[in-house]
Amino acid sequence: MLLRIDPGSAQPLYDQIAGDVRRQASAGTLRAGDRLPPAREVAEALDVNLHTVLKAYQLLRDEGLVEMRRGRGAVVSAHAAALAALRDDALALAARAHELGVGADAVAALVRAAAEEADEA
Amino acid sequence: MDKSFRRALGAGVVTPVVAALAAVAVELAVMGDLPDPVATHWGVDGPDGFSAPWTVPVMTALTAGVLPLVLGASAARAIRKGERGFTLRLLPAVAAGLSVFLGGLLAGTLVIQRGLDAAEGAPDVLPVLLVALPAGAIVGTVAWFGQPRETAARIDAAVAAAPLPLAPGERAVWLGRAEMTPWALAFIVLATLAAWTGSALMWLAGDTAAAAIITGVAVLLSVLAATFTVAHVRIDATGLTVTSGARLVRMRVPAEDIVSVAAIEVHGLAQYGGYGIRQIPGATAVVLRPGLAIEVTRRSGRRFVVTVDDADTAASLLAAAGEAAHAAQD
Repeated sequence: MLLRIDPGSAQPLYDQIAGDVRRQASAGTLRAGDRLPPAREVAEALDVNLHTVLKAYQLLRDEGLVEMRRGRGAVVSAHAAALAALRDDALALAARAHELGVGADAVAALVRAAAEEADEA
Repeated sequence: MDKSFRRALGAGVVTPVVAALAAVAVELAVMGDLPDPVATHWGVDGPDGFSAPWTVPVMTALTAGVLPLVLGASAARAIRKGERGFTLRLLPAVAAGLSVFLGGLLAGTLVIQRGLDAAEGAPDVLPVLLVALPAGAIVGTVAWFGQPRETAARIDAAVAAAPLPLAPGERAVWLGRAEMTPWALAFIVLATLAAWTGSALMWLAGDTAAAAIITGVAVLLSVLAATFTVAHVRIDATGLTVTSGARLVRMRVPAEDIVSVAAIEVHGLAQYGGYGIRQIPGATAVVLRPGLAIEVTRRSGRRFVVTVDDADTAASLLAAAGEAAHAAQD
């Protein structure tokens, strides 16, 4: 799997790594049962702190996208299919937002607000 | 249907089927005149192993039919896909020769026991061997020369991968695995398990020398299995690193040494004479299965090939790493 980070970006590095995994799960290139590479190896190759990678993996575990298994490391969970199922909706929403001149951050905020409303309802 | 495929089919599929059917037919025809049990193994002093007569046709079907058929059919399948090479010409010929030799040998051992009251009186098996062995050798040779000689594998010209566009300062890593096909893996695991089981039985049976030897074989098989069935592939700014499953072997292509990278299709048997870590003139290859791979051309002109899934992504990142390293040097 491909992981890319931009240390110059305002987004925290662990968030960028987690975002890469999420993106690949929604694109269907990462499927349930796929193993994430060992955190140590990722840290070494990207020249970042081991704890940065571990924090990304923990974030993904808290989201339910990744399961930590003793001896097997981080494994993509069945939740990946849910992300993949939302991909078309996300693309359609992004295209519509682009048409209307609404930026990605604003769309993300809208989705977050909508999710909170849906939770309360 | 091209000539190579037709001939491979004749040698590797039709010949084993015909030879095994003929041998089984002869065995069934003499079945009524045989002692029970029949002799199935001969030592220096005559027959020393005996089995029920029905086991012989079963063994014939398996060893003269199924086994050569699997060899021949696997080669024919690769040839139909466009692969060519020494091994692919050899396998159907071996299948043809093997089926005739084993079919003739097994059927012959029953034919010489016709009309006997007891298998202990079975005549010497040597004449049967002296007929079956040359017959198999002749059929195998005919099958070898009957197949067209096409040593060059059909290789599509490698198209250099476009470097993955990276923003200045952006870092990227591609981590992947090269793994054998599940069938090959299952076969190797079973063979290893069989060796371990054999060694355990030998220790129990108390034959220390044999037990030590078989344990050694089992250990060797386990190490080989761990080394050659899976490899970890890492591509980052420093270049390409391939580490074998048990971490015994580590191969590197530094980014500065990369001239070009391409995503290609490889056929281990035809191009590298097999699977595993292969050295051929001009190239080193870690070929664990047929299919997608990345091919790196080094400054020396040597190529390094490793099979990976998603070879396109891997190749474009490695091309980007090579380009960045060259830019940094200038």
